[in-house]
Amino acid sequence: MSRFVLSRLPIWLTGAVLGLLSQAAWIQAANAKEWDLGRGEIILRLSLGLLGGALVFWLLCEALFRGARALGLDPWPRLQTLGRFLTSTAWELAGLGRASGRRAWLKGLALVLAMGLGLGWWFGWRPAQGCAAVRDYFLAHQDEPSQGLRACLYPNVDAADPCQDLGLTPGFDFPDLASLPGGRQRYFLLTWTGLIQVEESGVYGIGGLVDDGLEVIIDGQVVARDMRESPPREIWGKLRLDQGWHAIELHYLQLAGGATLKLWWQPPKQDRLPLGQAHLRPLKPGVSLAPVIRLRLEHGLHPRQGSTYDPFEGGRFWSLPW
Amino acid sequence: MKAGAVPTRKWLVLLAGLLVCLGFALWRAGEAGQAVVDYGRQQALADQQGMLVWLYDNPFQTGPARASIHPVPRLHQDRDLKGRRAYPFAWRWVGLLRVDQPGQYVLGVYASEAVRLRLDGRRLVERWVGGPPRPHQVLVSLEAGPHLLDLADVQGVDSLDLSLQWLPPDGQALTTIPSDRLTPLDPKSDPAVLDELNFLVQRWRTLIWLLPLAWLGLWWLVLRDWPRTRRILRRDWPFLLVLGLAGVLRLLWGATVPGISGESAFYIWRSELIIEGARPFQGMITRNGPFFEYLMVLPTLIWGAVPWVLSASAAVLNLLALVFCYRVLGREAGRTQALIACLVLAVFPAEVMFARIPLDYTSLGPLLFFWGLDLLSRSRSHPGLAVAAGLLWGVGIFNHSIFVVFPACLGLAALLIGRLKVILAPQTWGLGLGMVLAMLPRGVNRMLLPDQDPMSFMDPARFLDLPGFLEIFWRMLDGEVVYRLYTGQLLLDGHGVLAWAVVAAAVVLVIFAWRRDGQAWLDLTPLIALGVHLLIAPIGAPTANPRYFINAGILASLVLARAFFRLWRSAPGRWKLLPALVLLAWVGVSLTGLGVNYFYCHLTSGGRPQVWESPLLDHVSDAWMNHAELAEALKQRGYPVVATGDYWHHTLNLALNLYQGRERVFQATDIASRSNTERAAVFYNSPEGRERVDTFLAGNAEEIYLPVSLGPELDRKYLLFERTWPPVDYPSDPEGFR
Repeated sequence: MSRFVLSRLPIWLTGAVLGLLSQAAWIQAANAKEWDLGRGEIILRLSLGLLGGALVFWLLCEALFRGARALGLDPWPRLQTLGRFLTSTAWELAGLGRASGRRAWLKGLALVLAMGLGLGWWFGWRPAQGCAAVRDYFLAHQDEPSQGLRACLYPNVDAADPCQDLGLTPGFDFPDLASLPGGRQRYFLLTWTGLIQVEESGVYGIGGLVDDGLEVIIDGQVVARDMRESPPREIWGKLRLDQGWHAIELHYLQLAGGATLKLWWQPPKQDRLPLGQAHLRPLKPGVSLAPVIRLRLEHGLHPRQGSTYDPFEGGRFWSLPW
Repeated sequence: MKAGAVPTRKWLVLLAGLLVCLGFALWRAGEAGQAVVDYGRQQALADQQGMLVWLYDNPFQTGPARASIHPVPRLHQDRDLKGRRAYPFAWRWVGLLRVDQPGQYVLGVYASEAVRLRLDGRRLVERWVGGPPRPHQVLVSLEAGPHLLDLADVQGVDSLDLSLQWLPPDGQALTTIPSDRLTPLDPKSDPAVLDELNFLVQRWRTLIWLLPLAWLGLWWLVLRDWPRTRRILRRDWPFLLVLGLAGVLRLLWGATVPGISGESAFYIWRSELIIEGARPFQGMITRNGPFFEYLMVLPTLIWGAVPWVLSASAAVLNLLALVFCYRVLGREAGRTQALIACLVLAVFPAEVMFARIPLDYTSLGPLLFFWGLDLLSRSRSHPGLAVAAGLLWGVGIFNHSIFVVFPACLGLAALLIGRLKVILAPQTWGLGLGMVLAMLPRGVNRMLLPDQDPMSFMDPARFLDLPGFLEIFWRMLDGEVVYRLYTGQLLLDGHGVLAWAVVAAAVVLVIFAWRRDGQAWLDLTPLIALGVHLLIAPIGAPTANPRYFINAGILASLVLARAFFRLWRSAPGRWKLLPALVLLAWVGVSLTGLGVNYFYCHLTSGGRPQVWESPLLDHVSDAWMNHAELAEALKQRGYPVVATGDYWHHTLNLALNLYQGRERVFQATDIASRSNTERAAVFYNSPEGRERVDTFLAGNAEEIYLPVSLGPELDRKYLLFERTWPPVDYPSDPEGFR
């Protein structure tokens, strides 16, 4: 390894650690102030902290050491020794100098690869196949010349009765109970089914202002969901979509009290737009969604809820079997 | 054949064993499922339709149930109690489902609050937590014939929401299961029998993958290289005897000798959460877990949440720690030294009893410590293994931050003995790297969720507690602390003989170290580490936590063992007998103390806890406490629900539930999650406990609680309040339930 790299190695490592620690401290301070940090921002900050710290500290040291050389000091040989120690230590620890070490690396990599493939199949490929199958089913049953989504009213919240077809809905702006289709007051479920057209690939947001519950399902995947009884609040979710038509299901739940439903969507790099009918296409009347239920369950698209809660938060929970 | 290669015959043995294990477990799982259906068939009322309903007056399915028969549930309505106060309640719907057409069925439940659906004993839906109404659907493959549906559910105080649906293979939509498809069970049937049958299904379904794994482990360790196994058995039979002795002492009277504190119960409760799908950080504080809980998942799945499972798991982990101790000391100091160390660890009263107090740390801690040491020792020839050692120790710190005292004390000892030269060894860096890597997830979690763990565990002011800590350490070595706390008696007072033996051993080691014979580092390392540990322990601990004392106990054992070995080694000719006799005498004193004070006293007294007159032990932390007697007293009083209020871990309720075993007579709940169906509340008889009483009474202003006595022994430790008004009654509003 060149003398240049060996002597700079300790500086880069120190800078990287300092940069990482500075960003970690910043994130912790931001958390303490309850700033809303996204996961992406945290990862970006930590990565840039690592690289930026190494770069900035290196430049700083170069400038300082140049100044030191003018004073007759030369720290580079000592740093080179330190760099050599670090590299030899890393080489020893990596074990690549021994046949057994190389074998261990190969076995480890093979194991990681096998696990990666298994997990990729279970969590990636299998649900993706399910999404494609749901989409194909919706495409096969689309009501091609029409626009908008087809509304269906379940007179009970458990959706176990035949639903009443309410026809096509032109828009999704229902400020109160009276404006909602179906004319019921409480304990009902309204669903809209159809397809949504996406003109360019990217991350799309969808959701709205809702009282009480809303579930948005695209290609069988739950994008946004909150079915609690609640005053109007925003329910919003995001999903990456490819260009083309996608299956969409909207489930609106009214339990008791007031009712509101205003929906928007947000194409990539655009503001939120009201969910109109221009990009929507309904299914044919009377299409059964039973195959979609099966597809979602077969491909792991149905969210599984477990009995999980934080025991130190207190609150309402019913204890476990013992 | 290439040297070291496994012959085909042995691969065939592996394969045959795997097939046999798999086949046996599959057969037993099928039988267990069939037993559930058979029970349903025996109890079915063939001339009726619908489902049997067991109705409870509380949400925990404890206490007597009222049985009645109803059509398949389809309820979506407000609760109407005509002015009376509403209480949450639980009910369980059971019926035999008739399936004519085999195929893939979708079963669905729509329910608020908690819900659990079983089919032929198999858990299909599990959401045992409060919340708004939500649908659950599962896809199951059903054969034609009868199947037992078992739906347990909790309802809240505002509305009733419950429906049970299906989608047959040729169905077009989810519909309520028709009542004529279901046959109710006889109201005289017993829910406990069904619970036991359901549990057997869970056990054998787990063993479907666990039995083959166990066979794989056995084959790998024992059968793969049988000559090597025989060699080990012939060579190391003394160690196997020591291991057997350690096992007997740790497993003897497994079900009767308690030592399960509320904190121990927390781990088995967490493992239950994990079985039900909790992610690693769910349901835990940031400085604790989750490795012991994950380990506990396996025995819990097979035997259920019962106290002896915790004790036995802890004992097994301790025995494994002895194996690694033998390996590492055998390599570094010879087999005799290793054998002596293992013998001391096997019978040292402090170690035996801590092995019976299953906490993350007392169980997993020693194993991680000795396993890490073993890897570190092997890293002399393979430096990369130092990273693995660091990973293990990092996992130890990840699991509980107290583990840091092991690397810290040993590291400091190494720096002092090696005069800082140890810094230049690649192993040191590998160890550090491994520890950082293993602790990274904990650090990130702690950074992102600082509110999860607001407590500080570094307070130099606590150094003032050092005398108290040293006193507990001194009395812990011969088990006095634990004898008094668990058995309530001290028939045979050891007068600190075992503790004085440690002091004498320390003096012996200092004298030998003075000779600088190339082995001095082995004399000084445990000694310095023990000294450092005793000095720093109070700074990081607000209470006399057993975790600190098991660390100190291990280091003290190593000091003793080293001194015995040194004396034996240096003694000339026939004089070698003298140190051997001293060791035997020491073993005899330890075993006598254990036998009389621990096992005999427990069997005669029933394990009565006593108040220990030290603010470091009483009430502040319940980690030392044994609540078995309280659990028994509350069982006899027949309360279906009891609230508990303790100081900080909120685990008294968990211990009380655990002590009852799988069949719960009452449900103990934390006061923070009260359901208003409590018939009594129990608190520690301490200043903190009395504060909790005030909180509880203030939070239940509409209810009248009066103090009652639990008897003179228990009154010293606990305060019991009984609810006198208003009465909790069975719900009357679901149509047809009165």
